[in-house]
Amino acid sequence: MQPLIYMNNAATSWPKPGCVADAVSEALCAPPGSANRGGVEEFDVFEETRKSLAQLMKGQHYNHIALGANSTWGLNLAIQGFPLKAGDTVVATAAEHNSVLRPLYKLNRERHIKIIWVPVDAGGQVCPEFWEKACHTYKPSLCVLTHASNVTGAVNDICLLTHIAQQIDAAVLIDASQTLGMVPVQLDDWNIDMLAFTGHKYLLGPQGTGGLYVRPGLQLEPLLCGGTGIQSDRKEMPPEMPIHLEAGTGNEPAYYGLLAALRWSEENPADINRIEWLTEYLKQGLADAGATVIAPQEKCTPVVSFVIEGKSAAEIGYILTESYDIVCRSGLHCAPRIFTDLGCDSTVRLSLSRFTTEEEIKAVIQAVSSIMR
Amino acid sequence: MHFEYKKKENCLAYSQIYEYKLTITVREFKTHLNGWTVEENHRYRRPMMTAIKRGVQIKGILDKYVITVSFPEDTYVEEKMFFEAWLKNEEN
Repeated sequence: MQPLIYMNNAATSWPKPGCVADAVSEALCAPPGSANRGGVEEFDVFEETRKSLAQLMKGQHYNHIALGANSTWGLNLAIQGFPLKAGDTVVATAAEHNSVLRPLYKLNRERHIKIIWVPVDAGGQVCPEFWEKACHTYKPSLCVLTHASNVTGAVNDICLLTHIAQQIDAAVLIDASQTLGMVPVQLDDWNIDMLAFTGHKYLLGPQGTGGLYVRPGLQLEPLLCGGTGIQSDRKEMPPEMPIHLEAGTGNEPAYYGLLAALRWSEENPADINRIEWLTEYLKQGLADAGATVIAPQEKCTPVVSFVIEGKSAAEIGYILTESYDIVCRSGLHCAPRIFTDLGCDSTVRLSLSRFTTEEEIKAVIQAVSSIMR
Repeated sequence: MHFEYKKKENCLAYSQIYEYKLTITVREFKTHLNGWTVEENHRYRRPMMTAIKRGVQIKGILDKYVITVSFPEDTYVEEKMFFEAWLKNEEN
Protein backbone atom coordinates (compact mmCIF):
# COMPACT_ATOMS: atom_id res chain seq x y z
CA MET A 1 0.00 0.00 0.00
CA GLN A 2 1.50 3.31 -1.09
CA PRO A 3 1.17 6.15 1.41
CA LEU A 4 -1.20 8.99 0.64
CA ILE A 5 0.51 12.21 -0.39
CA TYR A 6 -1.66 15.06 0.82
CA MET A 7 -1.15 18.18 -1.28
CA ASN A 8 -4.45 19.97 -0.67
CA ASN A 9 -3.53 22.12 2.30
CA ALA A 10 -4.87 25.31 0.71
CA ALA A 11 -8.31 23.70 1.05
CA THR A 12 -7.93 22.04 4.46
CA SER A 13 -4.62 21.31 6.14
CA TRP A 14 -3.74 17.76 7.04
CA PRO A 15 -2.31 16.25 9.14
CA LYS A 16 -3.00 18.26 12.29
CA PRO A 17 -0.84 18.18 15.41
CA GLY A 18 -2.00 15.33 17.65
CA CYS A 19 -3.00 17.74 20.41
CA VAL A 20 -5.82 19.11 18.21
CA ALA A 21 -7.79 15.86 18.10
CA ASP A 22 -7.08 15.30 21.80
CA ALA A 23 -8.45 18.73 22.68
CA VAL A 24 -11.62 18.22 20.61
CA SER A 25 -12.19 14.81 22.13
CA GLU A 26 -11.63 16.04 25.69
CA ALA A 27 -14.03 18.94 25.13
CA LEU A 28 -16.71 16.58 23.88
CA CYS A 29 -16.30 14.38 26.94
CA ALA A 30 -16.39 17.27 29.43
CA PRO A 31 -19.45 19.25 30.55
CA PRO A 32 -20.03 22.20 28.20
CA GLY A 33 -18.74 25.53 29.45
CA SER A 34 -19.87 29.08 29.95
CA ALA A 35 -23.70 29.06 30.06
CA ASN A 36 -24.73 31.12 33.09
CA ARG A 37 -21.31 30.71 34.61
CA GLY A 38 -18.59 32.47 32.68
CA GLY A 39 -17.09 33.95 35.85
CA VAL A 40 -13.56 35.12 36.34
CA GLU A 41 -12.44 31.63 37.35
CA GLU A 42 -14.06 29.86 34.41
CA PHE A 43 -11.95 28.89 31.41
CA ASP A 44 -13.53 30.50 28.34
CA VAL A 45 -12.18 28.78 25.23
CA PHE A 46 -13.55 31.49 22.94
CA GLU A 47 -11.89 34.28 24.86
CA GLU A 48 -8.58 32.40 25.06
CA THR A 49 -8.76 31.73 21.30
CA ARG A 50 -9.40 35.42 20.63
CA LYS A 51 -6.36 36.33 22.73
CA SER A 52 -4.15 33.84 20.88
CA LEU A 53 -5.40 35.05 17.51
CA ALA A 54 -4.90 38.71 18.43
CA GLN A 55 -1.35 37.93 19.51
CA LEU A 56 -0.68 36.09 16.24
CA MET A 57 -2.17 38.93 14.18
CA LYS A 58 -0.37 41.64 16.19
CA GLY A 59 -3.61 43.31 17.24
CA GLN A 60 -4.51 44.82 20.60
CA HIS A 61 -8.27 44.40 20.44
CA TYR A 62 -8.88 40.69 20.95
CA ASN A 63 -12.50 41.28 21.88
CA HIS A 64 -13.09 42.65 18.37
CA ILE A 65 -12.59 39.20 16.88
CA ALA A 66 -15.96 37.55 16.24
CA LEU A 67 -15.75 33.76 16.10
CA GLY A 68 -17.95 31.62 13.90
CA ALA A 69 -17.88 28.76 11.44
CA ASN A 70 -15.25 29.73 8.85
CA SER A 71 -13.98 32.60 6.68
CA THR A 72 -17.09 32.47 4.53
CA TRP A 73 -19.06 33.32 7.65
CA GLY A 74 -16.73 36.23 8.42
CA LEU A 75 -16.66 37.52 4.86
CA ASN A 76 -20.45 37.43 4.58
CA LEU A 77 -20.76 39.24 7.90
CA ALA A 78 -18.43 41.96 6.67
CA ILE A 79 -19.78 42.33 3.14
CA GLN A 80 -23.47 42.08 3.95
CA GLY A 81 -23.21 43.83 7.29
CA PHE A 82 -21.16 46.83 6.15
CA PRO A 83 -23.25 50.02 5.96
CA LEU A 84 -23.59 50.35 2.17
CA LYS A 85 -26.44 52.17 0.49
CA ALA A 86 -27.84 51.93 -3.03
CA GLY A 87 -25.44 53.45 -5.54
CA ASP A 88 -22.32 52.89 -3.41
CA THR A 89 -19.29 51.24 -4.98
CA VAL A 90 -17.17 48.30 -3.83
CA VAL A 91 -13.72 47.63 -5.32
CA ALA A 92 -12.58 44.02 -5.31
CA THR A 93 -10.01 41.98 -7.23
CA ALA A 94 -10.11 39.27 -9.87
CA ALA A 95 -8.36 36.94 -7.41
CA GLU A 96 -11.28 36.74 -4.99
CA HIS A 97 -12.85 33.45 -3.92
CA ASN A 98 -16.55 32.71 -4.32
CA SER A 99 -16.92 33.46 -0.60
CA VAL A 100 -16.34 37.09 -1.61
CA LEU A 101 -17.71 37.02 -5.17
CA ARG A 102 -21.12 35.59 -4.36
CA PRO A 103 -21.91 37.98 -1.49
CA LEU A 104 -20.83 40.84 -3.78
CA TYR A 105 -23.04 39.60 -6.64
CA LYS A 106 -25.89 39.47 -4.12
CA LEU A 107 -25.23 43.07 -3.04
CA ASN A 108 -25.23 44.11 -6.67
CA ARG A 109 -28.52 42.30 -7.38
CA GLU A 110 -30.43 43.19 -4.26
CA ARG A 111 -29.01 46.50 -3.08
CA HIS A 112 -27.78 48.00 -6.36
CA ILE A 113 -24.19 48.25 -5.22
CA LYS A 114 -21.71 48.81 -8.03
CA ILE A 115 -18.76 46.40 -8.11
CA ILE A 116 -15.44 47.31 -9.74
CA TRP A 117 -13.01 44.47 -10.43
CA VAL A 118 -9.27 45.13 -10.34
CA PRO A 119 -7.25 42.76 -12.53
CA VAL A 120 -4.24 40.77 -11.34
CA ASP A 121 -0.98 40.04 -13.15
CA ALA A 122 -0.09 36.72 -14.81
CA GLY A 123 1.05 35.37 -11.43
CA GLY A 124 -2.18 36.31 -9.66
CA GLN A 125 -0.91 39.36 -7.76
CA VAL A 126 -2.82 42.65 -7.53
CA CYS A 127 -0.95 45.50 -9.25
CA PRO A 128 -0.87 48.51 -6.89
CA GLU A 129 -1.18 50.89 -9.89
CA PHE A 130 -4.49 49.33 -11.01
CA TRP A 131 -5.73 49.24 -7.42
CA GLU A 132 -4.88 52.90 -6.91
CA LYS A 133 -6.51 53.89 -10.18
CA ALA A 134 -9.73 52.01 -9.29
CA CYS A 135 -9.83 53.57 -5.82
CA HIS A 136 -9.26 57.10 -7.06
CA THR A 137 -11.59 56.80 -10.04
CA TYR A 138 -14.56 55.12 -8.36
CA LYS A 139 -14.23 56.34 -4.74
CA PRO A 140 -15.52 53.10 -3.20
CA SER A 141 -16.99 52.90 0.29
CA LEU A 142 -15.55 49.41 0.72
CA CYS A 143 -12.57 47.56 -0.79
CA VAL A 144 -12.25 43.78 -0.58
CA LEU A 145 -8.92 42.11 -1.13
CA THR A 146 -7.49 38.66 -0.65
CA HIS A 147 -4.16 38.54 1.18
CA ALA A 148 -3.06 35.72 -1.13
CA SER A 149 -4.57 34.03 -4.17
CA ASN A 150 -5.84 30.54 -3.44
CA VAL A 151 -5.06 29.64 -7.06
CA THR A 152 -1.46 30.82 -7.45
CA GLY A 153 -0.34 31.64 -3.91
CA ALA A 154 0.63 35.22 -4.86
CA VAL A 155 0.74 37.36 -1.72
CA ASN A 156 -0.51 40.93 -1.97
CA ASP A 157 1.09 43.92 -0.27
CA ILE A 158 -1.71 44.53 2.21
CA CYS A 159 0.03 47.39 3.99
CA LEU A 160 0.41 49.36 0.76
CA LEU A 161 -3.00 48.50 -0.74
CA THR A 162 -4.82 49.28 2.51
CA HIS A 163 -3.02 52.62 2.74
CA ILE A 164 -4.06 53.48 -0.83
CA ALA A 165 -7.72 52.64 -0.16
CA GLN A 166 -7.80 54.55 3.10
CA GLN A 167 -6.50 57.68 1.38
CA ILE A 168 -9.95 57.97 -0.19
CA ASP A 169 -11.68 56.97 3.08
CA ALA A 170 -12.67 53.49 1.94
CA ALA A 171 -12.90 50.72 4.52
CA VAL A 172 -10.84 47.64 3.65
CA LEU A 173 -11.79 44.01 4.18
CA ILE A 174 -8.94 41.51 3.95
CA ASP A 175 -9.53 37.83 3.24
CA ALA A 176 -6.70 36.11 5.11
CA SER A 177 -7.99 32.57 4.55
CA GLN A 178 -4.86 31.60 2.62
CA THR A 179 -2.30 33.29 4.82
CA LEU A 180 -2.97 33.30 8.54
CA GLY A 181 -0.55 30.84 10.11
CA MET A 182 1.78 30.93 7.09
CA VAL A 183 2.32 34.63 6.27
CA PRO A 184 2.59 37.39 8.90
CA VAL A 185 -0.52 39.51 9.45
CA GLN A 186 -0.29 42.82 11.32
CA LEU A 187 -3.71 44.14 12.21
CA ASP A 188 -2.64 47.32 13.96
CA ASP A 189 0.46 48.27 11.97
CA TRP A 190 -1.39 47.81 8.69
CA ASN A 191 -4.39 49.71 10.05
CA ILE A 192 -6.79 46.97 8.97
CA ASP A 193 -10.53 47.68 9.16
CA MET A 194 -11.79 44.10 8.81
CA LEU A 195 -10.07 40.77 8.33
CA ALA A 196 -11.66 37.36 7.82
CA PHE A 197 -9.77 34.15 8.61
CA THR A 198 -10.27 30.44 8.88
CA GLY A 199 -9.01 27.95 11.44
CA HIS A 200 -8.76 24.84 9.29
CA LYS A 201 -6.00 25.81 6.85
CA TYR A 202 -2.58 27.03 7.98
CA LEU A 203 -3.70 27.54 11.58
CA LEU A 204 -3.98 23.72 11.68
CA GLY A 205 -7.29 23.75 13.54
CA PRO A 206 -10.47 21.79 12.87
CA GLN A 207 -13.02 22.61 10.18
CA GLY A 208 -15.89 24.74 11.47
CA THR A 209 -13.71 27.47 12.97
CA GLY A 210 -13.01 30.95 11.64
CA GLY A 211 -14.13 34.50 12.04
CA LEU A 212 -13.85 38.19 11.49
CA TYR A 213 -11.84 40.99 13.07
CA VAL A 214 -13.58 44.37 13.03
CA ARG A 215 -11.64 47.43 14.17
CA PRO A 216 -13.04 49.46 17.05
CA GLY A 217 -15.43 52.15 15.84
CA LEU A 218 -16.66 50.26 12.80
CA GLN A 219 -20.19 48.99 13.33
CA LEU A 220 -21.58 46.13 11.24
CA GLU A 221 -25.19 45.00 11.04
CA PRO A 222 -25.31 41.41 12.36
CA LEU A 223 -26.11 38.78 9.76
CA LEU A 224 -27.74 36.52 12.35
CA CYS A 225 -29.74 37.52 15.40
CA GLY A 226 -30.42 35.22 18.31
CA GLY A 227 -29.41 34.19 21.78
CA THR A 228 -26.23 35.61 23.26
CA GLY A 229 -26.49 34.44 26.87
CA ILE A 230 -26.35 38.08 28.02
CA GLN A 231 -28.75 41.06 27.88
CA SER A 232 -31.57 38.67 27.05
CA ASP A 233 -34.24 41.32 27.67
CA ARG A 234 -33.07 43.39 24.67
CA LYS A 235 -34.96 43.16 21.39
CA GLU A 236 -31.83 43.60 19.31
CA MET A 237 -28.34 42.15 19.45
CA PRO A 238 -26.16 43.65 22.21
CA PRO A 239 -24.05 46.47 20.72
CA GLU A 240 -20.69 45.43 22.15
CA MET A 241 -18.21 43.27 20.33
CA PRO A 242 -17.77 40.42 19.81
CA ILE A 243 -21.21 39.29 20.99
CA HIS A 244 -22.83 41.80 18.60
CA LEU A 245 -21.95 39.47 15.74
CA GLU A 246 -22.13 36.09 17.50
CA ALA A 247 -25.69 34.81 17.85
CA GLY A 248 -26.24 31.25 19.03
CA THR A 249 -24.08 28.60 20.67
CA GLY A 250 -20.52 28.42 19.39
CA ASN A 251 -18.70 25.27 18.27
CA GLU A 252 -16.92 24.78 21.59
CA PRO A 253 -15.18 21.44 20.87
CA ALA A 254 -13.78 22.71 17.57
CA TYR A 255 -12.52 25.87 19.29
CA TYR A 256 -10.73 23.76 21.89
CA GLY A 257 -9.05 22.15 18.89
CA LEU A 258 -8.15 25.49 17.33
CA LEU A 259 -6.79 26.83 20.60
CA ALA A 260 -4.62 23.72 20.98
CA ALA A 261 -3.35 24.23 17.40
CA LEU A 262 -2.56 27.90 18.06
CA ARG A 263 -0.64 27.09 21.22
CA TRP A 264 1.17 24.22 19.50
CA SER A 265 2.22 26.55 16.67
CA GLU A 266 3.49 29.12 19.15
CA GLU A 267 5.75 26.45 20.65
CA ASN A 268 6.63 24.92 17.27
CA PRO A 269 7.01 27.75 14.75
CA ALA A 270 6.93 26.66 11.12
CA ASP A 271 10.25 26.58 9.28
CA ILE A 272 9.21 29.04 6.57
CA ASN A 273 12.56 28.84 4.76
CA ARG A 274 12.18 25.10 4.39
CA ILE A 275 8.59 25.39 3.14
CA GLU A 276 9.65 28.05 0.62
CA TRP A 277 12.54 25.89 -0.52
CA LEU A 278 10.26 22.87 -1.00
CA THR A 279 7.73 25.01 -2.89
CA GLU A 280 10.42 26.29 -5.26
CA TYR A 281 11.82 22.76 -5.64
CA LEU A 282 8.37 21.56 -6.67
CA LYS A 283 7.89 24.43 -9.13
CA GLN A 284 11.28 23.79 -10.70
CA GLY A 285 10.68 20.03 -10.87
CA LEU A 286 7.30 20.49 -12.57
CA ALA A 287 8.77 23.01 -15.03
CA ASP A 288 11.70 20.67 -15.80
CA ALA A 289 9.17 17.89 -16.47
CA GLY A 290 7.51 20.15 -19.07
CA ALA A 291 4.52 21.52 -17.14
CA THR A 292 3.62 25.20 -17.28
CA VAL A 293 3.81 26.50 -13.74
CA ILE A 294 1.99 29.69 -12.80
CA ALA A 295 4.69 31.45 -10.87
CA PRO A 296 4.05 34.66 -8.93
CA GLN A 297 6.85 37.20 -9.30
CA GLU A 298 7.13 37.98 -5.60
CA LYS A 299 6.31 36.37 -2.26
CA CYS A 300 3.87 33.48 -2.31
CA THR A 301 2.23 30.86 -0.11
CA PRO A 302 3.09 27.16 -0.60
CA VAL A 303 0.59 26.82 -3.45
CA VAL A 304 1.63 25.63 -6.88
CA SER A 305 -0.74 25.78 -9.84
CA PHE A 306 0.20 24.22 -13.16
CA VAL A 307 -1.15 23.07 -16.50
CA ILE A 308 0.08 20.57 -19.06
CA GLU A 309 -0.40 21.29 -22.74
CA GLY A 310 -2.78 18.83 -24.38
CA LYS A 311 -4.24 17.54 -21.12
CA SER A 312 -7.11 18.95 -19.12
CA ALA A 313 -6.67 19.85 -15.47
CA ALA A 314 -9.45 17.35 -14.69
CA GLU A 315 -7.53 14.54 -16.37
CA ILE A 316 -4.25 15.35 -14.63
CA GLY A 317 -6.01 15.61 -11.28
CA TYR A 318 -7.69 12.27 -11.88
CA ILE A 319 -4.43 10.50 -12.69
CA LEU A 320 -2.58 12.00 -9.73
CA THR A 321 -5.35 11.10 -7.32
CA GLU A 322 -6.47 7.72 -8.61
CA SER A 323 -3.22 6.31 -9.89
CA TYR A 324 -0.72 7.87 -7.50
CA ASP A 325 -2.70 8.65 -4.32
CA ILE A 326 -1.68 12.30 -4.55
CA VAL A 327 -4.47 14.42 -3.13
CA CYS A 328 -4.65 17.62 -5.16
CA ARG A 329 -7.33 19.83 -6.63
CA SER A 330 -8.13 20.64 -10.22
CA GLY A 331 -10.48 23.16 -11.78
CA LEU A 332 -11.39 26.73 -10.91
CA HIS A 333 -10.67 26.48 -7.17
CA CYS A 334 -13.82 28.54 -6.48
CA ALA A 335 -12.07 31.63 -7.87
CA PRO A 336 -13.42 31.79 -11.43
CA ARG A 337 -12.61 35.44 -12.22
CA ILE A 338 -8.84 35.04 -11.95
CA PHE A 339 -8.51 32.74 -14.95
CA THR A 340 -8.95 35.50 -17.54
CA ASP A 341 -5.86 37.20 -16.14
CA LEU A 342 -3.89 33.97 -15.79
CA GLY A 343 -4.56 33.06 -19.43
CA CYS A 344 -5.88 29.55 -18.82
CA ASP A 345 -9.29 28.03 -18.08
CA SER A 346 -8.37 25.85 -15.08
CA THR A 347 -5.33 24.51 -13.25
CA VAL A 348 -4.13 21.63 -11.13
CA ARG A 349 -3.24 22.91 -7.68
CA LEU A 350 -0.77 21.34 -5.26
CA SER A 351 -0.51 22.95 -1.84
CA LEU A 352 2.08 22.09 0.78
CA SER A 353 2.08 22.35 4.54
CA ARG A 354 4.78 22.49 7.18
CA PHE A 355 4.55 18.67 7.29
CA THR A 356 5.25 18.10 3.57
CA THR A 357 8.51 16.19 3.01
CA GLU A 358 11.13 16.31 0.27
CA GLU A 359 10.34 12.67 -0.54
CA GLU A 360 6.72 13.59 -1.16
CA ILE A 361 7.73 16.43 -3.47
CA LYS A 362 10.01 14.07 -5.41
CA ALA A 363 7.18 11.55 -5.74
CA VAL A 364 4.84 14.25 -7.07
CA ILE A 365 7.42 15.42 -9.64
CA GLN A 366 7.96 11.81 -10.72
CA ALA A 367 4.21 11.26 -11.09
CA VAL A 368 3.80 14.42 -13.19
CA SER A 369 6.80 13.37 -15.31
CA SER A 370 5.09 10.05 -16.03
CA ILE A 371 2.00 11.93 -17.24
CA MET A 372 4.16 14.06 -19.53
CA ARG A 373 5.80 11.09 -21.24
CA MET B 1 -25.28 -4.96 -15.21
CA HIS B 2 -26.01 -3.61 -11.76
CA PHE B 3 -24.46 -0.28 -10.81
CA GLU B 4 -24.64 2.55 -8.29
CA TYR B 5 -23.87 6.11 -9.26
CA LYS B 6 -23.26 9.52 -7.75
CA LYS B 7 -22.52 12.95 -9.18
CA LYS B 8 -18.86 13.74 -8.69
CA GLU B 9 -18.41 17.09 -7.01
CA ASN B 10 -15.65 19.16 -8.55
CA CYS B 11 -14.57 22.70 -9.21
CA LEU B 12 -14.68 22.64 -13.01
CA ALA B 13 -16.78 24.85 -15.24
CA TYR B 14 -19.62 23.23 -17.18
CA SER B 15 -18.96 19.82 -15.79
CA GLN B 16 -21.31 16.85 -15.75
CA ILE B 17 -19.20 14.13 -14.21
CA TYR B 18 -20.62 11.01 -12.54
CA GLU B 19 -19.01 8.04 -10.84
CA TYR B 20 -20.43 4.56 -11.40
CA LYS B 21 -19.63 1.67 -9.10
CA LEU B 22 -19.76 -1.58 -11.08
CA THR B 23 -19.89 -5.24 -10.03
CA ILE B 24 -16.93 -6.04 -12.30
CA THR B 25 -13.48 -4.53 -12.55
CA VAL B 26 -12.71 -1.81 -15.08
CA ARG B 27 -10.47 -4.36 -16.83
CA GLU B 28 -13.50 -6.64 -17.30
CA PHE B 29 -15.80 -3.73 -18.13
CA LYS B 30 -13.45 -2.69 -20.94
CA THR B 31 -14.48 -5.76 -22.95
CA HIS B 32 -18.03 -4.36 -23.12
CA LEU B 33 -16.94 -1.18 -24.87
CA ASN B 34 -17.58 -2.16 -28.47
CA GLY B 35 -17.65 0.89 -30.72
CA TRP B 36 -15.77 3.05 -28.19
CA THR B 37 -12.25 4.39 -28.75
CA VAL B 38 -10.40 2.78 -25.87
CA GLU B 39 -6.88 3.57 -24.69
CA GLU B 40 -4.94 1.90 -21.91
CA ASN B 41 -2.05 3.47 -20.10
CA HIS B 42 0.28 1.14 -18.24
CA ARG B 43 2.94 3.77 -17.49
CA TYR B 44 1.09 5.00 -14.46
CA ARG B 45 1.50 3.36 -11.06
CA ARG B 46 -2.02 2.01 -11.29
CA PRO B 47 -2.73 1.37 -14.97
CA MET B 48 -5.85 3.07 -16.24
CA MET B 49 -8.02 3.22 -19.32
CA THR B 50 -9.98 5.92 -21.07
CA ALA B 51 -12.77 5.42 -23.59
CA ILE B 52 -14.55 7.99 -25.74
CA LYS B 53 -17.70 7.87 -27.80
CA ARG B 54 -19.95 10.76 -28.95
CA GLY B 55 -18.34 13.16 -26.49
CA VAL B 56 -18.86 10.83 -23.51
CA GLN B 57 -15.58 10.01 -21.79
CA ILE B 58 -15.03 7.09 -19.40
CA LYS B 59 -11.99 6.83 -17.15
CA GLY B 60 -11.07 4.08 -14.74
CA ILE B 61 -8.22 2.33 -12.96
CA LEU B 62 -8.08 -1.17 -14.45
CA ASP B 63 -8.13 -3.07 -11.15
CA LYS B 64 -10.86 -0.98 -9.54
CA TYR B 65 -14.64 -1.17 -9.73
CA VAL B 66 -15.39 2.52 -10.27
CA ILE B 67 -15.58 4.39 -13.56
CA THR B 68 -15.77 8.17 -13.92
CA VAL B 69 -17.95 9.32 -16.78
CA SER B 70 -17.96 12.87 -18.22
CA PHE B 71 -21.00 13.78 -20.27
CA PRO B 72 -21.10 16.67 -22.75
CA GLU B 73 -22.62 19.73 -21.08
CA ASP B 74 -25.23 20.50 -23.72
CA THR B 75 -26.62 16.96 -24.11
CA TYR B 76 -25.80 15.41 -20.77
CA VAL B 77 -29.39 14.53 -19.80
CA GLU B 78 -29.98 12.42 -22.93
CA GLU B 79 -26.47 11.00 -23.00
CA LYS B 80 -26.63 10.01 -19.35
CA MET B 81 -29.99 8.29 -19.84
CA PHE B 82 -28.69 6.53 -22.92
CA PHE B 83 -25.49 5.44 -21.16
CA GLU B 84 -27.31 4.10 -18.10
CA ALA B 85 -29.85 2.24 -20.22
CA TRP B 86 -26.99 0.63 -22.13
CA LEU B 87 -25.15 -0.23 -18.91
CA LYS B 88 -28.29 -1.80 -17.42
CA ASN B 89 -28.73 -4.03 -20.47
CA GLU B 90 -25.15 -5.28 -20.49
CA GLU B 91 -24.57 -8.75 -19.03
CA ASN B 92 -21.78 -9.12 -16.46
